[in-house]
Amino acid sequence: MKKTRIVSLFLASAMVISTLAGCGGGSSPTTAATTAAGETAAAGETTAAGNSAGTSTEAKSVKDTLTLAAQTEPDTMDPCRGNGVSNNIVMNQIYDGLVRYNEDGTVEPRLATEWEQIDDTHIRFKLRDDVVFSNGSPFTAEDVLYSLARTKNDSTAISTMSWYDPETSYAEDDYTVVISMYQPYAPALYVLAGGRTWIGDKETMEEMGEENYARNPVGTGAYALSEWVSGSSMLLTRNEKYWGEPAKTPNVRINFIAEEANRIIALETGEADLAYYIDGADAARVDEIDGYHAERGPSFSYYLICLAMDNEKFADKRVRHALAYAIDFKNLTDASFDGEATTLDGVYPNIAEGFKSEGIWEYNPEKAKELLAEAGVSNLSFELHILPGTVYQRMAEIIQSYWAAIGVTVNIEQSALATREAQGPWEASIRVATADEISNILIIYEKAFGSRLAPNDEHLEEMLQQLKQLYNTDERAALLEEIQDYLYDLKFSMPFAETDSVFGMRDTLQGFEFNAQYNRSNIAEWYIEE
Amino acid sequence: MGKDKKETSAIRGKKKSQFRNIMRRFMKNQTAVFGLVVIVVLLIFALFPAQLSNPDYTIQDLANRYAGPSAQHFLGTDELGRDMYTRIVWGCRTSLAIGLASVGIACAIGVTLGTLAGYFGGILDNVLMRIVDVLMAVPNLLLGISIVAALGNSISVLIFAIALGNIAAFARVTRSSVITVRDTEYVEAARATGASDGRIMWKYVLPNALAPIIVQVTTSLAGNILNISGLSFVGLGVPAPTPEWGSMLSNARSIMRDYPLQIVFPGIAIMLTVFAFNLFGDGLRDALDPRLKN
Amino acid sequence: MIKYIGKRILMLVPVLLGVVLLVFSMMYFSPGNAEDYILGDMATEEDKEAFREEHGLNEPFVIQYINYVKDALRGDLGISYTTKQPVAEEIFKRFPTTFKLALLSTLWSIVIGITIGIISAVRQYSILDNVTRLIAMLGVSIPTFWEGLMLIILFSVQLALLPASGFTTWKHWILPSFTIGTHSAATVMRMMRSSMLEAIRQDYITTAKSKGQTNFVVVTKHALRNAIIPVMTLVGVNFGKLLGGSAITEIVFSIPGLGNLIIDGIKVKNAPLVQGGILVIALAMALCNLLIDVLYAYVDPRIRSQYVKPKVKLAQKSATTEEEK
Repeated sequence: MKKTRIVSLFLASAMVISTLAGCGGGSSPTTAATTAAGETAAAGETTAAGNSAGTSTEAKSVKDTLTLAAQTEPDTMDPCRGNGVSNNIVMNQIYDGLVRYNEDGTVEPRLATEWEQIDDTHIRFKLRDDVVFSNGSPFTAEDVLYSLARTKNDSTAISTMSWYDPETSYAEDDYTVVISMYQPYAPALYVLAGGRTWIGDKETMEEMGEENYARNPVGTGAYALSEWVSGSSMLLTRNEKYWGEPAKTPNVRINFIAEEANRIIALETGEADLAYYIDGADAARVDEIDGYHAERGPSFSYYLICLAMDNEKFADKRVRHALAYAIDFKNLTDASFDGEATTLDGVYPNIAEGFKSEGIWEYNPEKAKELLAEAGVSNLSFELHILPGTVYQRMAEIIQSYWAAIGVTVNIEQSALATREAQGPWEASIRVATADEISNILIIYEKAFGSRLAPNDEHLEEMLQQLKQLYNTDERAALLEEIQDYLYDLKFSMPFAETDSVFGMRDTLQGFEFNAQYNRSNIAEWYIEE
Repeated sequence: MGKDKKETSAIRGKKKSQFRNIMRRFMKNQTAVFGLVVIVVLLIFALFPAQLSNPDYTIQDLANRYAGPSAQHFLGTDELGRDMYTRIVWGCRTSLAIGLASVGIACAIGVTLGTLAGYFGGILDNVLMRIVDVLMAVPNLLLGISIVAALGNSISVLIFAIALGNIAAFARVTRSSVITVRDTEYVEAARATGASDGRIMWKYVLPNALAPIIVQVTTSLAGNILNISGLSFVGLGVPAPTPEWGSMLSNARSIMRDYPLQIVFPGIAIMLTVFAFNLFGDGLRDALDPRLKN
Repeated sequence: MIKYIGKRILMLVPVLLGVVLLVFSMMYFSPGNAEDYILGDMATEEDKEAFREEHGLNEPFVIQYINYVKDALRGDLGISYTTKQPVAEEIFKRFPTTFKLALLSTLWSIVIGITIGIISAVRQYSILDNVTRLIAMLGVSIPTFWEGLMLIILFSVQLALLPASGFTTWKHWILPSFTIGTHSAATVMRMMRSSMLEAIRQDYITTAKSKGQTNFVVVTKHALRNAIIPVMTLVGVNFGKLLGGSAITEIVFSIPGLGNLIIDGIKVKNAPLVQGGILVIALAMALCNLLIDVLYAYVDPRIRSQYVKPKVKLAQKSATTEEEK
């Protein structure tokens, strides 16, 4: 168990401080690890509250069906295809991963009760022996190996699982599995915490076929999918065979409402008990709805301007700096998000591991002009690519006008990703990023990851690869700081705005705990007393 | 030769009085005249937006966003503090330009196909009409969206995408009109004089088959302006920062509950334009073919 | 008659093949690769190659097209890139919604269009007639999505009477179907009016009137019966169009219909889904038109006799339906 803690500490790395702060709230890796043997961490964390609430709710009767308004319909329930938040909002309820990853970087037991790092490239997981899938089929180490191998082979997950070696990973017995890596990989536990690595049932899947399984999933989670109306909604029903604390609400219906305005209206008309993806600008309106309020907090999503690293036009650092000096990032952020986003003062979201505040880049158009002149650049003109969506359009038009003021012309091109990509790399672009684990956040600067920035910086590449293999906290923190300083000065990317995660919900909704990532919410804890 | 000339001038003379008749009938129709007046006004706006509003439609005032109507901005300002009136005026140019260009292209292609099919008949007719059937079978907007999504949203792609959806209508209208004309006496007569097929089609058949085509032009224009705004609304329209009514609507949609005026003005602009073309087209139809009028 | 229907169905085949070819080549030759859309810009080259292999995207165009048509004949429209489910299944899950929406909208258009059309015809050139005709013209001029937004502001936001999204209960059906319905009502109304006027002028109406029957009886019993046939044809044609043409309204009201599905598919270049969806829409529209023509012929023996030698007449007929629009 000690070893478990060490591993989680490795991962938590620079987040020690916030972890300690978290102790005050009653949840920490220590409690998690000690309760792990018998109880689940998630349940353990809230045992006291949960039990009292549980008994009182039975007396008061709990609303039978919670209705949630989500944005996008999941495309599949295949346990190896949890790519994207919309899939995982649901998958997190019907499947389990080996472990649970908290946004502060700590790791808690889930299907695994404990784990130890045997050496740099092997981790041994002890699995729960009391788990059955929602169809009654028992859960064993075979299911873990089978599921991970499927993820490894899936075309959408190759880069995520590049470290995983399915050949030499093996089951020691039914409830012990050893995961083997090709090379040391610090974010391994993060990957194993789900998303793309949910555990499905080998036996059932082989019986019913993968396609059928993807539509009629069988998992070990607190809920099971009982109805899926294409394009419209999903109905989750409490999994009575669940190994942990049973879900508080018997049924959860998730309606897919693409338009934000319509999600709010669903709250206003009382159709939905909770809505995901509320714009910051609308939080106040949700508060005005009788019986509803908004809960907001920082998220991992941030917007950035990207300049192609292999493009001649931006080769001179003075040009990049000039482009940055030309923009009032505070104004840009305020106007783009109607004052509901925070101006980013570092190179990635400030709640992410090892964040360093670098300060907001100065707005100084005079200096920008000087730098351009110094670099001997005049009539600079390039393309700014944005994705479909009005937010992008707004940002692009503001940036366009700022750059025009220093004599730089940009042509805005708005199109779906691949239409543009097929015509060659773009020169500049505005993108959003939502990753929550540091190597995933920084992946945009890796060479293998081509399109966005077209990275070609050897030094940067080296640092990023090193970071992935570094478990040690101090070295890791130092390296992260170096990377941030380097990126801030490099200025091929200009991160500028961080947006909040905002949930709109009924005042009577209980058990809700704010999560920066929508998909990490544990819906099994939510209930409404009637 | 001389006889031929005399004949054409006779036709021309006949045409002049025909034209006068049409004008007279048209002018009697009040709603149609109203439509025409609105169209003329819109055309003036489209031709002289810089004179009638601010010459620079991109001027932003980030401190003064979503402002209500005032003396300075009499339709208020948009989400970037840009003058709404200016953008609506310039948007008129965008809509009309794309509308006219796409109708022009569709008309040229469609009329050619329809004339060939109607005049020659037979296998050519069959083949051409099956192509038209194919275009007819795909809903215009879906066709437009697929093309723009595939080729990117530049103005020229937009024009092409919208034009493609109109070709079928023009081909059909032209064809049926040509069929009624091709067996008339004067066409027979022209054929007897040994005129080439091309000449007959151009000189005798088309001019007499023109009326329904003209009507189709106005209805297509109305429909296309709706389609442009529809494409922009889906986010596949005119690229920013060119002002366009549909994209103004789409931009304002997320804040429509706080600032409803933001969606009211562009909506009215679209509606008024389409309305005017429809009224005009209706009046024209009645004037061109009084038998259709009830 | 059977021969005629058979011939019409046979004529559908090249059209549908053409539709597939059109959409197929659009998807195939346009820049942008499916793998880029589906996997996003977080994907590496390795991921993309694996995806291409998996979906047979490395085959040449003709082979892909022939394979597609062969499969389609067996009812297999391929597998959706995003959901990994059979496209045919996806489409038929959405089709009922679109069908229902089209049906309800058509009901609105019949109720509104025919009522106003009759009144307008009977009171020709009255103020009522002029006003309703203007309103009808406005009806076809309003962008449906804008009308939808305004209705949402009014009925969902201001009055909080009706839900703005989804399509589950009858309350959800009202706003979207009304939005589309008013649009087609305008065309129905115009057709009803002119067809009614024509009927009123017929000899038998004058006869009926001279026999001393009341105006109401004349209108409802004699004129309407004859005037309604072309109107019903138009309603049928409109219905067919709505099966593929309600996409934007589906977006405005977040309705899980076929149009919404196809547009989502187009955005991520989910080729099998888009091809299948448009093919099904084309087929549905064509069958709908066929059904109307057959019913039309059945109702009106004069037309039925025309179909004995259908060649030219047929073509003319389809041309006139277009003009009527």
